[in-house]
Amino acid sequence: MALVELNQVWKTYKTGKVEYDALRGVDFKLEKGEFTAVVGPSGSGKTTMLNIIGGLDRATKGTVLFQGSDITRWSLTKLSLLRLKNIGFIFQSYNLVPVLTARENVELALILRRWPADKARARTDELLEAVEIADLANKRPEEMSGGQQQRIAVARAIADRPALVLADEPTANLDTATGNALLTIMEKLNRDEGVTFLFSTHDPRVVERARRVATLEDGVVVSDRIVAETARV
Amino acid sequence: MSALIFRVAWRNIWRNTRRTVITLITMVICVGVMVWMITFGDGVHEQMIRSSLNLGLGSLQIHALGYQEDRAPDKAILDPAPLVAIARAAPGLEGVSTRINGFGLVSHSGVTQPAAILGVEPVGETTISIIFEKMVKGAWLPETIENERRLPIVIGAEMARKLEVDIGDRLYISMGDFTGAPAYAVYFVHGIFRSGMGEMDKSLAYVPIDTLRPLMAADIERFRNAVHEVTVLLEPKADVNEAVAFVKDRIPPDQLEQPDAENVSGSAQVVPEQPPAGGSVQKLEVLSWEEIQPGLRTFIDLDNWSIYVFMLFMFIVVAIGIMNIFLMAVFERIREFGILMSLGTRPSAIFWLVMTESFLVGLLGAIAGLGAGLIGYWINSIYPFSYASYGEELSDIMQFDWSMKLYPTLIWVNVMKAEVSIVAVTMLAALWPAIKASMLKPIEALRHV
Repeated sequence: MALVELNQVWKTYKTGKVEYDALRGVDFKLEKGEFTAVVGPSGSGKTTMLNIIGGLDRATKGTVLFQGSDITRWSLTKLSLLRLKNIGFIFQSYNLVPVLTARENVELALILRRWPADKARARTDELLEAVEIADLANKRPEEMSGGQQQRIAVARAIADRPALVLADEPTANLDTATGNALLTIMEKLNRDEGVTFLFSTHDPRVVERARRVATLEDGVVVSDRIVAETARV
Repeated sequence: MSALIFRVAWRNIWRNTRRTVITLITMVICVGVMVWMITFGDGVHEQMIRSSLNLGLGSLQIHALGYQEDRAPDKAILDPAPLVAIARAAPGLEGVSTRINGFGLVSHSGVTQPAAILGVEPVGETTISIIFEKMVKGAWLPETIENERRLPIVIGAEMARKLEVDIGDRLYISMGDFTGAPAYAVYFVHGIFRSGMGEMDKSLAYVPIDTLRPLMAADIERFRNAVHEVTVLLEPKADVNEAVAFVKDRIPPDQLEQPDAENVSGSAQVVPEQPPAGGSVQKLEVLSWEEIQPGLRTFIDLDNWSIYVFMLFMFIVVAIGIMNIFLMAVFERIREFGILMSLGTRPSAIFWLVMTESFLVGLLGAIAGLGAGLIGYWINSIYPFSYASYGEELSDIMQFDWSMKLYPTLIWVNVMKAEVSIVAVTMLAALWPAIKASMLKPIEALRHV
């Protein structure tokens, strides 16, 4: 059973009387343990595809399966629970909670998943060490650089060891060194803990490290190739 | 709601410090004024009640059954001694005394005034009434009559003025006795009082009960010990209903009429006929001051309602401000709600996050407002209001001594009701913004700029 399966998925946006198809009959499967990049020019539908997989948006037509369950018409609450239990998000603009410290931002993900406070704290410390940001644990996002914030976002996304991490342009606002460092962390997580990663990206550094690359153009998957062997869990 | 979510809510209300402070200042003013008004209102009501009780109403009275309704002179308690003994054991007792109520005319040098002539125990009356402290000339009734030919009477200052009498002057009394037949007596002015209540000063006269009873009884044996009232005054904090129940429990049941279905009051009910003389059990009624003078309670209730209406307007002002603030706060944080939803926060949790923030704002406003209100209460305690310049005109309407100063009273239950209400109003005002936040679509929220 594939982790994620999109069958003839369409997404149509309406702006006034104008309709625009962001996705046009996309068929896509993602297996557990993959480290996959979805590439394409701006407006090709990469982010839309990730949002639909993550339950942040709904497909207009077609079906979306997650671990075999059809989530296409799930309610907002059910989709929230899906994200809570199975999916971590990394956004281009970090999207940390501004009133919380770095530690609290990561802890929040665990508290929402009902981790006991002491265990949440211990796991948070472990993650902050893993993303090499432990010394900034008590700083708020406004006191950190973009790269540091993105490290926190990575830690938050993987805190509960989700089945899938969706990363939308995670390195877009980062310098080369920081971007590479983060990708190394994510690769390690994929390799050591079997976390599945799906990237939407323009960044060739990400494409280089991906073991599978799917290309979207005008809402259609035009190519889908395995670059290296996927580590199966 | 976890401590972390609580922390998020707390920090969120301080993200726009100026806005929160302005909101809190508004709440402090509204809540502070409400709290002070409540303490002032409670103080005035307490003083009104106490004044009425202390000027003769008493906390409860025992009558012959039916006396309260028609005040017929023959509806007298024929054997008051056992009732006085029961009353002396009542919880929270301050004093007990008996009275005979007569109605008639008082004359001097061709001038005649209608009057209520109260036969009272000179010493006992001082335990249930403060009228003896209101003497402006002469003295209160003496405990013993030194000269049987100069029976003492104490009258109100307004009556003295209308009759043009002074201490030592002779007054001719003509009144109905227990049977309604005319009776006459001569008294000499022993003291003049000013109660602060116009009607009392104009029409009330006190005489020793032992001088009035022979006049009223007219040698009728069964009226030999008769009185119209056994009046009981309780301590200010005593429970009147408890005392009424205590007294009723100790009166033989056959002397208390059982309430029928048509009657509202729990006390013994009025029947038109007195039991015939010569052996039948006399029926009695035990009434609290609220039953004797329901107008006073009605006035207080009406006054409370006017305070409630004022509070309602205050609540509306606060609610409009709160709703506006939370609508703005939700609008500013749409993207952040999207982030929380992307993490898996359920719509209901978003709702409760906003409601928690409103609870915290309400709580802060309530506490700070309480502080402001208590300061107002404290200042008012030191500098009470005085309606002395309006004096007797108002006292006739309001039926209590308005010459006194008006102090606030802090009754925590009443203040806490207002406090809880303001927190509830704040949360109610934030309800719509909270619902709006919970209904956000995650993807639209994340795209919000």
